[in-house]
Order: sequence, then C-alpha cells, then structure tokens
Amino acid sequence: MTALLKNWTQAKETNLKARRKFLINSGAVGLSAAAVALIGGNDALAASHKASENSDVTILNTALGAEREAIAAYQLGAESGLLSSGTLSVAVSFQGHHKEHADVLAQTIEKLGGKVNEPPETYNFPTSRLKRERDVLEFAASLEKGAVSAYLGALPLFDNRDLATAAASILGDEAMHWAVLRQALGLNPVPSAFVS
Amino acid sequence: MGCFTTGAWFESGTFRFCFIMGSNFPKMNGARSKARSLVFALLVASMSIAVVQSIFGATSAAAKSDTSNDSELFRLGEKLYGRCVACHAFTYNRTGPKHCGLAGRSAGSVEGYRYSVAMRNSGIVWSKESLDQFLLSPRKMVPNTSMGYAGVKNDSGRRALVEYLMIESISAERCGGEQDGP
Ligand code: HEC
Repeated sequence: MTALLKNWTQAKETNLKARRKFLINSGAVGLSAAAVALIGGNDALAASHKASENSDVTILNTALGAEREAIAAYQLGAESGLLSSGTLSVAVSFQGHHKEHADVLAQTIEKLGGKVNEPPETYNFPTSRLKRERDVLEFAASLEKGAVSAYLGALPLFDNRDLATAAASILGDEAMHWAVLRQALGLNPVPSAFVS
Repeated sequence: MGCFTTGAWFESGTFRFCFIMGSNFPKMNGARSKARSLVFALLVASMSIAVVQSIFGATSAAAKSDTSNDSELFRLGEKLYGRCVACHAFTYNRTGPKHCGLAGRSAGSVEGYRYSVAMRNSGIVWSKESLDQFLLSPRKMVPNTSMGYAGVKNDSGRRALVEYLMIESISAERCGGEQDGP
C-alpha cells in the first residue's frame, strides 16, 4: 500500500468502528442529504413521462444492475480474507457509496412510475483469479473504471436533464474510487485529463 | 443549468463546453473586456480542439497503422473494451449478456440472460457490420434496448473494438470450454 493511501486509511480507521456500527444498526446506508437533493423535490420528473414509454427508467434500471453488482463485488472482496485492514476500510467505504447510488437509482425509478428490476439471485465473479490483495484491487479498479465509462455513455441518453446531472454526480464519485484504487496499486492515480 | 448562467455553450463534435465569461473576470468592462473575452474565447476554442484531439489521439494514431499492424488494432480494441466491463464479461452473464460466442450468433440468444423484447425480436445476427452499426448507436439500431449506452462514436476506435470482439468472442483461449462461469 502506498503512503498516500496509508494516510488516508489511518484517518479512516479511527471512525471505522463507528461506521461499522452504523452500517449494522441502520441495516442499509441512508441517503445522504446531497443524494436526496439530486432527485428530491422534482415532482415534474414523475409527471412528465409515462412509465411505459420512459426510456430513462430503462437506463436507470441498467445502471442499478451495475451498482448492485459492484456492491456484491465489494462484499466478496471484504469477505475474501485477502484485504489488509486498511484496504478493507476503503472497500467498505466505497461499497457504502455504491449502496447510496443504488438507493438513489431505485428511488428515482419509482418516482418516475417505473418498476425496479429484480436483482439476480447470484452474481458471477472471477473468484478463481482473486488470489492476492492486489488481484482484488485490480478487479475493483476495473469495475470502477467501467462504471465511469458506463455513466459517461448513459449521460447523453437521458431525456430528463436532471437525471443526467445526477448521473454525472455519481460518475465523479466512481472516478474518485478508481483513482484511489490505482494509487493503491502503485499506478498513476490520474492517468489522463479525460475519462472515456 | 444554463451553462453557469453567464456563459455560452460551445459544441464541438459530441462535446459541449461552457464558456464562462463575465462573472469570473470581474475587472473586464468596455472595449478592452470585449477584446479580452474574444481572446479568451479563442483560447478556449483552441483548447477545445486540443481536447477533442487528445481524446481521439490514441485512436487516430492506431488508425494510421491499422492496415499494417493488426496487433496494435487488437490492443486498441482491448483497451476500448474497458468501457464495456461495467456490464459485460466474456464468459458469464452480468448486467449485460456474456460476449463469448458473440461473433455469428443471433442477437438476444444467450440462454439464461433476460434480454429486452426489443433485442430478442431484433432479428440481428452479430457480424462485423452489424456490431459496427450497433456500437455506433445501440438505441438507434435497437430502439428500446436495455443497453443504456450512447455508443462508440469514433470510427477507427469502434472498428478496433469490433475487430477485437470478433476475434476474442470465439477464441478458444478466452472462451473455449468456459462458457458458463468465470
Ligand atoms: C450500462 C451497461 C452496459 C454497458 C456499459 C455496455 N453494455 Fe452491452 N449490453 C448491456 C445490456 C443490458 C444488454 C442487453 C440489451 C437488451 O437486451 O436489449 C447489452 C447487449 C449487448 C450486445 C448484444 C449481445 C447479444 O447477446 O445479443 C452487444 C454486442 C453489446 N452489448 C456490446 C457492448 C459493448 C461492445 C460495450 C462497450 C462499448 C457495451 N456493450 C457496453 C449493457 C451494457
């Protein structure tokens, strides 16, 4: 682990216990005020489209599928026994963000009058290739990078520009995850001026 | 968001940039400010061109050599496939269907994957041509597809990606005997 990540995880470790307790007590991560603000108070959103013909709902459901998988992937990483305690706290924190994204997406789908897709019963992960902490970090980094691309690819498709704004906000968060994971892997955390 | 209220949108290809003038430059007024904002606009415009070039730089560099160097094309395709891995894997279904066996199969035909009705009924068979058309704009070719992705707009990049998919999706090394699990 690089020094930078170490500093960060040390700072985080002090409140990790409290965080764990919070996660356990609340069952799920509550929506942050900012997340609620992204979609909240926009009832025009719901009124403006009929759910049946709303392609925004489809896009949101697909994004939700990817977020749920990311949550499961971090769970796998956290339970793998391969992560040092510092990395584990980072993974738990990132997983919490993905839970918030998933909650916002699901709530937005409902707000638009759409139906939230059922999650799959199981997820496939390349578990046979995850043998060391580094493998887990690389796997997580590839998912985060992919998530950035996926949101970038979804952005221009939203009929409702408020949803594009919300997606961009999530994109930024995933990009930060990606950078931190790259840093942890000893790679240039911000390899270029643009994401694609 | 009205381009930060004081700016103006500038479009370049698929990208839009916001020119922020005035509020960020409080000392500007009169003719001098007009001249300055013109210089600023030109500066941003030229930067925007650089931006677009830098985004596509890698692909156009590879395009130059794509006739002579297949492996470079393949590597570019592999790199661009990174844009798909939030949802796809070769050997197993995820948010999107697995890509092993893609070359030559009918769209919407992987068992155990829940496709949209639109994809299942599209009648498409995946080939170089159909993949190129789909990846340019998935929702144009298959309206109502659940693949919520705008597409790969850069021609040479998309060609490399299609090339990569055509090879990799039927490669024994990648897909042989491992069609149903990671
Ligand atoms: C946001 C998630 C997401 C991203 C990112 C994504 N896809 Fe998809 N893809 C899907 C979904 C969902 C489907 C199923 C579409 C349907 O049923 O309408 C799909 C279907 C496909 C199909 C049709 C497969 C079949 O079996 O008929 C191809 C080909 C494909 N994607 C290629 C790509 C490529 C190449 C990329 C990267 C440039 C990509 N996808 C990025 C979600 C995604």
